[in-house]
Amino acid sequence: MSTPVIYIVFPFVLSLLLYFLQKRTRLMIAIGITASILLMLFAFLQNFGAVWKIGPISIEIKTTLAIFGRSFALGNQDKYFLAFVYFFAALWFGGTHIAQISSRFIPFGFAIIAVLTAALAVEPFLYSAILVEIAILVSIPLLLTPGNPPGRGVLRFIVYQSLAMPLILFGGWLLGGIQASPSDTARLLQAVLFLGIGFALWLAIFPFQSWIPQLTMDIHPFVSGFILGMFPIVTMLIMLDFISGLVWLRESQYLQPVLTLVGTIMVVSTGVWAAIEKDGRRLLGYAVLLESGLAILAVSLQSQISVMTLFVSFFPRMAALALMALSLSIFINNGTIPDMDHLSGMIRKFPFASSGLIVSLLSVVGFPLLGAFPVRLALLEQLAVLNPIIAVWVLLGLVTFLYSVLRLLMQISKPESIGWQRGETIGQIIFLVIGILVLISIGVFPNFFSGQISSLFLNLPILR
Amino acid sequence: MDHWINILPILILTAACIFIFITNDWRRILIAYLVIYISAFVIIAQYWSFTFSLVKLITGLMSLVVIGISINRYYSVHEKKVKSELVFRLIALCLIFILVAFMVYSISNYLSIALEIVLAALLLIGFGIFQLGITHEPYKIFLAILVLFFGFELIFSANESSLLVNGLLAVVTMLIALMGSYMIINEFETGDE
Repeated sequence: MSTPVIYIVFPFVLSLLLYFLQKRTRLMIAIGITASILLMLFAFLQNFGAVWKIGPISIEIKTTLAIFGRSFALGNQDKYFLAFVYFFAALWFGGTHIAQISSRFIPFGFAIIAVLTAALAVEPFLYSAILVEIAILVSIPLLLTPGNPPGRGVLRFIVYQSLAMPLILFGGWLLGGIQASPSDTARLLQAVLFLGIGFALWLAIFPFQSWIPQLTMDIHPFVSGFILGMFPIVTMLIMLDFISGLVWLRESQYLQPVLTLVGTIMVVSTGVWAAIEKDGRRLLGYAVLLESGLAILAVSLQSQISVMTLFVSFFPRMAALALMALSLSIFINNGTIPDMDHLSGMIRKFPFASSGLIVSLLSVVGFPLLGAFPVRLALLEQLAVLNPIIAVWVLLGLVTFLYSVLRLLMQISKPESIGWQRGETIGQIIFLVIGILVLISIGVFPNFFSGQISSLFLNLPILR
Repeated sequence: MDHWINILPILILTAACIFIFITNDWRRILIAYLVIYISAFVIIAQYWSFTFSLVKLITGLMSLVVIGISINRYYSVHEKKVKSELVFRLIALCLIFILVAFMVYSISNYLSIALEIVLAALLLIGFGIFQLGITHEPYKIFLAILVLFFGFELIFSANESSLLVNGLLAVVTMLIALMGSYMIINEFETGDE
């Protein structure tokens, strides 16, 4: 038994089996949640590479699997990713029924996670580009609504993400050739340029970010939350692995200024666009872009603490995204378009969904005592030490984003003639309340939260 | 060029690219793509092993068939292009091809790949990117991605002969065709999410 079999082959086979159980929705959801929780617990509790004892039976858990001369490796350094991904997979699969989306979400979700895990595990790094492309293609059925033509955002998502594959493959191949003669700086620069553009396309980094708000407008918010939660995090981890693996790159004098500049532009431009945005679905897209910008800034700091901050930030990021996606789904499922005009006074009709939307957006901005506040504070502190001007610009971007959230709050809490109602179902209320409480608890007890998962941070990528 | 006779398939490939921009009929468009794949196969078969080249050809043709079956079932009307649009497209495509002609020699030397292969690859990549930039129809977008990836494979597989990489690239090609076909069918399907 090996970890790639458990985390790549098993989820993929399970996705194929679940695909044929689509008519039995409840059974499928139950299997999906149970399998995700078991896989999460296994990553959290089991030491990879050691022996797994179940009563009298002992099974050796190997960390590599060789296929066609190439290997897939999932060691202890990947435990955080695996536990994190399957925790949120369980949440997302659990919310399928509540968000009223197609049951095919679960098999496709499992397949996407399996392929993305393979992308992270494959060695050499070159092959991950092809596997991410396969995951993108597998996600297409989730983005479509029967009887409707695909939106412009969906098509752009496919085009932009697909363009990344040849660039990364080619850049990786050039880089492989240079390793024989590392002094060839011209070729080195070309390889980094190809890889840089490829990663920029994957992560929707400025100036390739326009498709994200369009995609969130075109597809169901619950699906966009899942897709935009998983893909940027996995590609970010692949990028970190890549930077960590090349000493000359992480010691390059250009890496930090380039990443700082790109991250700052992303945060400020996203804040400005969000400030004039009127649709909640597009705000979800801008929230993802803001998170990506801040993640790049964390990478640019190239310190052990900044990498730790980045990894810890994935948790509130995903929790906020899940809460936002569920809140928006509730509005849409009840026939309310989540824009400024239609959301006016909705706090009286959908008090929990409205609160969920506002709390999640406030958390993304880093509002005090909410999930992302400790990581935003840590990032801003480190940025202020390194470059105070950049810190001010980032703060400006966050304040402009906060302005858009406050504008939405004012609109959503406008006093209307109707009295207080409860438009959500009990199941939806439970999920929303848990989501809000999780974000508040992470914000109020950050040390307790990071202490619980500290055992997963033993082998983080080295950026300096 | 190693063999000047290869100018013929390259000219045919170029003509097929131009023809795709001129015509509105999806059947003719698919035939033009077929011609592109066969022309490129004629070139690569001279440099790579026959079986390896055949794999690329068959994967490409299968993907065209998959997309073609879906279009055949669901698409009947096609929009007509106005003259100014045609002129713009042709001029833009010609500019791309001229740019390719200027770059091809240095790229061929740089990558140590035969000039014919690089020329065919760059023509396809240029055509694919341009097509992706101007079209809104899903099937044309998927065909453009297919041809773009095929152009890239011509360069990439010339140096990377790994079985896993080429197998995965074939999987990607087939998945693109399947998902493109799914997207076309889905548009005309009835029923709720």
